[in-house]
Amino acid sequence: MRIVIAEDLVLLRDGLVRLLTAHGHDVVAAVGDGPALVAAVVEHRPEIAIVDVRLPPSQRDEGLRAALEARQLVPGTPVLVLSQYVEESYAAELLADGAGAVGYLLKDRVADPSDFVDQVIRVAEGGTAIDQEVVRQLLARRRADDPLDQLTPREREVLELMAQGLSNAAIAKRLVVTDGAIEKHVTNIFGKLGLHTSAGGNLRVLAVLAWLRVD
Amino acid sequence: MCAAAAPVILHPVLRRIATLPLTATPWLDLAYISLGLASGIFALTFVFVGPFLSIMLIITLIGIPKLLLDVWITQWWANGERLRAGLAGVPIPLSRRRWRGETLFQRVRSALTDPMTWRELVWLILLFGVGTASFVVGVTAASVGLGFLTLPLWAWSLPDDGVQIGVTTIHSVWAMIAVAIVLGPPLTILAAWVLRGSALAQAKLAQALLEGEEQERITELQVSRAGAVDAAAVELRRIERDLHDGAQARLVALAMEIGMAREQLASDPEGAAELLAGAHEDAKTALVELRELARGIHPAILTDRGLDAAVSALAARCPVPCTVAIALPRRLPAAVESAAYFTIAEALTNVAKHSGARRCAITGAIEHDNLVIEVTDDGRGGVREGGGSGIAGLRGRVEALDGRLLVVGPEGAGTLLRAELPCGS
Repeated sequence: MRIVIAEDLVLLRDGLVRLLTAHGHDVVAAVGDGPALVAAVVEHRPEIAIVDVRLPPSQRDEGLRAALEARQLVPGTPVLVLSQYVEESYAAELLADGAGAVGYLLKDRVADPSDFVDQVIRVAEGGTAIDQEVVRQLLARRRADDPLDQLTPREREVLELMAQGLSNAAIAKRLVVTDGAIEKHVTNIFGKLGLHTSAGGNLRVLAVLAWLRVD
Repeated sequence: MCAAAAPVILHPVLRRIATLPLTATPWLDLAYISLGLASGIFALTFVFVGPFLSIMLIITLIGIPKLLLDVWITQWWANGERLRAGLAGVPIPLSRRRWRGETLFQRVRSALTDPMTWRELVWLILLFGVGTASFVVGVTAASVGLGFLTLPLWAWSLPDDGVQIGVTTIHSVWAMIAVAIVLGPPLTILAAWVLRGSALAQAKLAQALLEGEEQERITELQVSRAGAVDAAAVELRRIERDLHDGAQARLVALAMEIGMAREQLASDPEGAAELLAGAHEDAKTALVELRELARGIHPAILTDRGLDAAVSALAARCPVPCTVAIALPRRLPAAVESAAYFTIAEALTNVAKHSGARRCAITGAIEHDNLVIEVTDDGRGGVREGGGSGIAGLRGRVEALDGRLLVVGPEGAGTLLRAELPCGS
């Protein structure tokens, strides 16, 4: 897979290149700031861009801005944003265009290289990868009479994994149950939360996240 | 109920009105307006030989230092006026303003842009008129009151034997005694109140002009506090940046390397060992970075061993050879120690980075309840406050503690940085 990386700290940039190369991917460009990222995406048309939120020169959310700009110039480019901190609003901005193929993960996730690469592949294939911390933040700030209270602990677990962007098969594998069991849980969850969508994949993630963000 | 209560309420009021002449108040009022007359005459003289003359002399340049002296005298005099108002029962807090600035001109400018300076000057000019008016009113009233009360005692000295009261003239001593008894007390009470009024009018006017000091002090404190808050926010941002770019990033890299090593352990033990060696190095570097960062936030040695030891440790790390002579009789408040430490640290950073000095000396001592620290070097001088030298930040830190910072660095002649920090006692 052809990958562009934007990360200003050389230590982490080199680490990411080594990690992805070790897993058989091809890092076609590794840059250190926002404008260089946009240029690299336009030039290389990568299968995915992995971007640090905080990049020079502004050292604020330059990386996110540049990633969104690159996605406008080369529509459909999958973007995985890495961040030292969890900010739900960053995830919301990424998801805003509803096109999918976005990810928002804590930098810490690179500590488990295989899982990390799995998520990179998921985003590159048009899926969604939302950090479990973001999902937890969304789940934490709930109201008193919350429909979520009607969920069983297992259903809650399934909801969290759905919000992170996992497919039914992946959830089943994670929880060590059959696909059929997960499908049943998903139907129950949608029923209890009043979500009427039979859509799979990216649209399902968006629906769940939207439900969690609103109200 | 009401009928019974009314005299109880009325009685003390009447008594207060009637007994005013028997208290010390009229005498204090008399002293107040008499001193006011004297002060007013001298103040008017001062205004002419002082500030007015200075402004005339400004063209000869002698006017500028003289102006600073005049401003000091004005403040000093106004403080006398504030104390005097206490005689009339209107206490005005004394002013302890200091005009900051590195050059004489800056200090004069700071003194002349201080609104209180002008208000004090206005008071000194008004004092002659106001003082004369209240003296005339007050002393006349006092003379009439006391005069009637003591009529029989001095009537003999009048040339024409007979005292004219209204339309009648009285001659007999008994009539005079009767007049003194009947008219004396009410007129004396009236006189005491007129005296009170004239003194109070003057003192209130003085208060209106010379107070407000509190408010100015609060504004000044707010400014210096805002400076301190800014300095703290900048400092926090720096710490966050250092953590983000340093230890945090290194730990992420470390976790990643260990993760990769774990995955490779079975398939590629040699590669795994290499990754672990890298991770080991990263871990050690992260430790060093965290230690440096913690020291930058607050050095442990400063808490444990005090300023001398902490500054000696700083000097030992400075690439320019430094001598340290800090003699303090006791431990100082933590805020003062910390401000002194970081001032010296910043000064040494400047010495190492910009000065090109070969030698540097650090001294610290208590002078008049101030901790005075000085950092001198023999470098190229020419320090500019704006040029990223961190001096503006230091000034904020020092002034937040009511201290003063002085940086003298003529081009080519070394640099002296002097900080005075009040440390109470």
